Amino acid sequence: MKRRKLVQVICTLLYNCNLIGFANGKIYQGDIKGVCVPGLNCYSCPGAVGSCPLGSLQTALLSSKYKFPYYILGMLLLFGVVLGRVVCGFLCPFGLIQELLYKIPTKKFKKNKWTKKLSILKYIILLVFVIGIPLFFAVPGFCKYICPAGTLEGGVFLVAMNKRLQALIGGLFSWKMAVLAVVIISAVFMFRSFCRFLCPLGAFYGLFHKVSIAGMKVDEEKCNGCNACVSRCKLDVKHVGDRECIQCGECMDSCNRCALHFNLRK
Amino acid sequence: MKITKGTDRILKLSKGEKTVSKEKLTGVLLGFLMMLTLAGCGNERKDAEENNKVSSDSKQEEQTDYREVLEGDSAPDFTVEIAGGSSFTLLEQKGKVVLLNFWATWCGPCVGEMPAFEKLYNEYSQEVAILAINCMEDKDTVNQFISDNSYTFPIAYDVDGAVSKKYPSDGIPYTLIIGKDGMVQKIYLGAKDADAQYEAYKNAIESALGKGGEQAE
Repeated sequence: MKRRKLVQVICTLLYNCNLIGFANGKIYQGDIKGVCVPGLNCYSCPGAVGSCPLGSLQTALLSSKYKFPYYILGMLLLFGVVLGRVVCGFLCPFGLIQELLYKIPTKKFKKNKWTKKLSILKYIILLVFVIGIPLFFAVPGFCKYICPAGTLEGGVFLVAMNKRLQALIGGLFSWKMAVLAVVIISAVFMFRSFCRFLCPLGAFYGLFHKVSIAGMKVDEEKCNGCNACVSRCKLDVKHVGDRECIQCGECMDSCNRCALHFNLRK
Repeated sequence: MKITKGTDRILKLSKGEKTVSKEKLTGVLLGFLMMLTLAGCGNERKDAEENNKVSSDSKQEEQTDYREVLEGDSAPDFTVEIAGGSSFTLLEQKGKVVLLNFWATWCGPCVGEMPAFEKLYNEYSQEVAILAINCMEDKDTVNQFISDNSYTFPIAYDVDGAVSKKYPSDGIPYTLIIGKDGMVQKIYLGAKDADAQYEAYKNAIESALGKGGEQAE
């Protein structure tokens, strides 16, 4: 599984390779910024060279009555069909941050029936904050009120080095910092808590679990239904490869019949 | 035993059907995706062509690196096309106070503060030139926005971002008050509601009118 961490780290660096931005508190505004990356990575991060798909979607929906958002919807569908939640397991910097936080040795909260119920919340956030509020109230709801990745990357890193933005700090900033604090603290005790309960991007990619080309596959001929994989998994999955599965492949060595594979599905 | 074998076969058959339908679904989705991508590319190409037409004459003075404009700097000159047909050149406004705003239809705070510009435009039509420059959206979008809101103050296109490039900022709304002498007097990044912005801009304009007048004489 070390290979997965390596991919995650490389991805985080690739998304944020405008390192000079961290020093001078400036956002990269070159042409590559027009390309959206698959994972959750705020485009207001001083290092970001690409755009966040969720942020782009909300912004595009704000002016959707003038222009239909072909590009961002096409990219989201492309990522969904080809990769699905492989993006969550391998290509998301905020997933990596949470996994590193979970390495802090403390008592951990295991998944239970309540966390299973709470995992529905992210679908509600997708509908209300990412689609509903931008369409009907012309406000990028998720970015503005919830997104902890934006608070960390844009709110902390960018604002720390930019005096003109510091002058704009108000009540909303305090609220977003509180959300970030809750997410960070909960990620220490619960594995990838934001991804499981709140992330609308993961919720969206999860919708593609039956059709996405890459991902975990169970060899039904070899599987004896022992459920060792599901009990090994730290997420709220009912079976390997369902919409809660982030396709990380950590279950593979729990299977003593070698029925689990990560590959392109036929 | 025989019966279970039979059901096994049925299961396999139904599984086979399932994968076929999965392939079909993937195919349909991919097709839809290609349509979206093609449609998106088509639009971009049209926009790019329009850009070339607009910017071909201003290309000679192309410069790549512009630094941030600060209060006290002289405002970089530019010429833009205003929706409705006329054009606006900053240098020609000397002797007037200029309120220069950068905005986009997808920017909530920008759209929210626009009534302030309309109000200021009606109050100071003689002494102040107000100009809101759209950031890199196509002309149809800007025209549609203007007719939806029936604004009368000058709103300009900047499809290729040539003017935005001369005024780099961390974000929009980005508004500058330029004195009669062409020096930037005040810079605003971000906006509260239209009423608060109206008060802030009005104060800045009043002081620019007073100060600018003294300096000119």
